[in-house]
Amino acid sequence: MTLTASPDQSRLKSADTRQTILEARGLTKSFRGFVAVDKVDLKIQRGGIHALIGPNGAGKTTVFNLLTRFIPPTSGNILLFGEDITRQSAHALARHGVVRSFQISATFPHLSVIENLKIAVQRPSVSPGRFWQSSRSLAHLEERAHHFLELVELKKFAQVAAGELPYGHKRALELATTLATDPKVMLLDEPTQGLGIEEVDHITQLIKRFSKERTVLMVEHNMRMVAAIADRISVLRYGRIIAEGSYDEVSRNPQVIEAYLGSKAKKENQQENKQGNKQ
Amino acid sequence: MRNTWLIAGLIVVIGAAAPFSGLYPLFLMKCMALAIFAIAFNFFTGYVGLLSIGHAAFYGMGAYFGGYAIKTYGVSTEIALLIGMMTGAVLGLLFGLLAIRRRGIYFAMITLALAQMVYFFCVQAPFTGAEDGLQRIPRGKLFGLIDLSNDLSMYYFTLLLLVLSIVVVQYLVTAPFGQVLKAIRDNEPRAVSLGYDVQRYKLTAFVLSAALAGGAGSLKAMVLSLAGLPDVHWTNSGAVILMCLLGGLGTALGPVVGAVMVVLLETELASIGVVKIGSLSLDLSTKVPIVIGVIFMVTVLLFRKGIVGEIQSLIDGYHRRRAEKSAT
Repeated sequence: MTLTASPDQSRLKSADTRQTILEARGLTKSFRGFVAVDKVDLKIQRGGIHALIGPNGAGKTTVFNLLTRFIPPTSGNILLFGEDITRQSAHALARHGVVRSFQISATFPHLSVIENLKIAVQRPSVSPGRFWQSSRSLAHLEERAHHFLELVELKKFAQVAAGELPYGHKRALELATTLATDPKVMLLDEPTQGLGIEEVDHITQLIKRFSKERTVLMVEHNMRMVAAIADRISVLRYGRIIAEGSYDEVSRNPQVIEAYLGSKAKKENQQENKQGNKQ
Repeated sequence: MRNTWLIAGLIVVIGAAAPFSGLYPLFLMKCMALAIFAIAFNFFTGYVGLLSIGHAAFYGMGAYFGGYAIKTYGVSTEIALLIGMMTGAVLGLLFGLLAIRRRGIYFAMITLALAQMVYFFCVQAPFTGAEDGLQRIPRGKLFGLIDLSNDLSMYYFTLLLLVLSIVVVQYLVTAPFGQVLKAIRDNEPRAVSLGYDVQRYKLTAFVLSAALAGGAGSLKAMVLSLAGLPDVHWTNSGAVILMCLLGGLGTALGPVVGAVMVVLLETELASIGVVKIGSLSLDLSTKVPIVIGVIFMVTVLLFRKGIVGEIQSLIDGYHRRRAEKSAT
């Protein structure tokens, strides 16, 4: 199980029987002496949505970058299906099915929406060693690209350059391209950041739908969304995990309340809690 | 791809008629060899988005090796071209392995440094003829059959190679390979997160570009019967950057237009000679770089996307407005 810091050890043990897909062991990252991530142990279990929350600067994005090998850890290990992948490259990890999104929307702005999706679906069929490969040889992937286009309701924008889409649509496209790579674990860095309420609902539903068959780890600030869809939550503060469990468990944890909202905000937190439960 | 055939057709028509307009085939062939060089450069810098200041090394070494093979061993023309391409590719692989992980100015500086090493190698190496260069390079026989020593037959062969280069490069940039290159240029971290080995894609593009540059070099050596130090000099890398920026980086026709413009300006300005404005007399033939520099600055300030790039965006804008009109 997870963290030594968690006061809920015994309660969390039941979850251990589920299959662990992605695991971090003693993951540490220091930047010139500043320890951004400090001995983080994290287990992402198959199925459902695991949220990583914490105040600004807690190290959430760094954990993300470590798990996806965008930056190398100072120490500690990352295991995918029990296999040590700490030394693998970022693109190799993506090929194993660990696909991430980014905090700011990540599309290919000069490619059209459908071309964006094709880039995602064609990945296993292309390689730089076969640069002469024709687009006709990939015609069978067309249908799959259109499938994901419909999934995020962007069909009428198919030929529009992704850079010209409104922000909410960009995020939807980003999610669609992530899905289109057929990932085993999807790591989403603040998927609803900067979105309007309606768009948040749309994205939330998409993530929820997707998570039924696969696994999602997301960093999120929107507590309503976390409360609504996260099955499991880890709270990060000063680079350490201070609590882990369901939303109810975590939100009752005094350490979390203090870290996340400040002790005065206890009352507000309870209100938020009620709202969350209603959803 | 339909656009490509249009462009290829256009060049075939203009190219086939050009020698009868009073322009010298030799002059046109020089333009075309440089145009292929510019196409090679454009394929890498225009689509990968990294600035190489080392392309003269591929072009110049292609010229030396291709020229040496045909002069000393009497190989046929297409073999000499292939040797030029191989030279470019091998050198490109070496440069690429050392430089491709770098970005921005660091990539540019490493390619420049490596190209300078190649230049000094050429100054010292015995087979290059140093200051004299490799002279009296024959054009050989195509497939050992067709004699190309006649200017006009060499001219049409060169035209064929130019059209072939355009078609092949346009095919590559519209094929899945080129789409991935554009994706990497647009957002490299995202391409990595989708599982693309971006370094290998960039390296492949660099080697292909270097191979074509080497081919262009050996073609030039046979066209002008000469391979020399100016071909490997860094100013040649500068010239090819100039051509692509003038014509339009990342466009199909830009490098060709740019190459023709630069060669035209160089020869025309040199032949004007002394210009007298009142009591002031200017010898333009010695000030070609200054004049080209001014033209370059004006073009970059007025047409950011280059000449072809600006025309293209005008046409695109027209089509978009028409599409919007018909939609409403």
